[in-house]
Amino acid sequence: MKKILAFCGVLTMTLGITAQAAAPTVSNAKAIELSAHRIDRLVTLSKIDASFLSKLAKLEVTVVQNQAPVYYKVKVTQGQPAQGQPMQVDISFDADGKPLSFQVIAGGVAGPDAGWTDKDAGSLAENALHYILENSTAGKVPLFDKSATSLTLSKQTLNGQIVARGQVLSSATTEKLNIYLKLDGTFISAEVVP
Amino acid sequence: MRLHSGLLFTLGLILVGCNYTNIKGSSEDMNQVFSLPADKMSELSYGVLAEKIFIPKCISCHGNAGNINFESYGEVVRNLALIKKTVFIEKTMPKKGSLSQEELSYLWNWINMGAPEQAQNGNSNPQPDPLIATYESINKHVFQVSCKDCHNPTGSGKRVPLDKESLLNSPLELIIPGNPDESGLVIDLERTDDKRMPPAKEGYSALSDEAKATIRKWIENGAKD
Repeated sequence: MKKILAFCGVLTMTLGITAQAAAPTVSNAKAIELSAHRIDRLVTLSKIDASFLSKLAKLEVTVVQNQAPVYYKVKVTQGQPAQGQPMQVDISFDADGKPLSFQVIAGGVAGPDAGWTDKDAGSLAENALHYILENSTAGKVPLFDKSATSLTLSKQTLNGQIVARGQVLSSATTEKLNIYLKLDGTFISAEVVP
Repeated sequence: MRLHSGLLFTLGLILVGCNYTNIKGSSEDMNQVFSLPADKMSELSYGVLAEKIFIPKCISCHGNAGNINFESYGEVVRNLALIKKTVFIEKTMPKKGSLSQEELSYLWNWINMGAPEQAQNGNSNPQPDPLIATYESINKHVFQVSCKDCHNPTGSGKRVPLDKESLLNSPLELIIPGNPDESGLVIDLERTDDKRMPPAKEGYSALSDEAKATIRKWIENGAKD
């Protein structure tokens, strides 16, 4: 009897470890992209403030340990307000990218209006990430797919034109991936910079 | 001067004559290229054309998007010359996809017969298979008509496949069985901003109220069938 119980105990532990260590079926970059989609859904359903869609400035992804079924946590942050902390929401996903929960962090203040005229910030972030997902085997892009840590959206000037820039950081390199989009979300170009 | 005018007039007559011969000739050629057996000719009706061509090949843009509405017999008939010109002469339609030889033959002959609403053989128009709240029916009547241009393995919507398993397992929560209000598919079809599907900015019509209600019902029923 003791042997059977011991066997069951080992089996349970093994299964638990295996479940926790299950390889993700979506990349870090995909988890960030799914967060941009999730923000749109939560705003549409009036579950979070609409300013998350228009004033979103940064998405940071973390792979969490020992919190199965949660695998990814993505922190979505609005632009820095004149005073106080920016509004933030944490979104949890499983290893397949399925959304599990979200939590708005209390005390945040809506960020400044970035003046996105054609597309909202959420759509621009999403479109920038599509570049990575579409080119996930090309050149250095894989470094920014599997090991992406954040995307920061900002307004920049490129060849005299006001554009949106999604800057992606990765834990696999110190280089940065800059993805440039027109304000309507159309892809312009991308570059890896030191 | 008189000689010049005479020459110009003669040249003009020759050109007009050539052009007439060309159109007449090409029309006769077209009749040969698109010939159909007599029994098929007698079957041609608006209902047959709608089922074979207008619904699967045209309605995704030529529905309620503000162009010619191919769901209306009257509007199709009013635009027959334009349809003939854009499909057979300019070959600019359909913009997305193409018509098979058989489809072109049906369309060519139906137009040349005067676009009858009813078939000459007296058969009534085929009763269309109705749209019901099952995946198979929705896929046939909605996804394959209005979505497949982009949502296919090489299209711009390839990241969002519309087969049943993908819909049910999508991390985008496109289908939440029993909860149409929070299902991404319903939200994307019913929204009125620039994120609506099918996308208005690319010329696509919104789904009909009947299609949207049927999809809602299917999800409400658990999206099982």
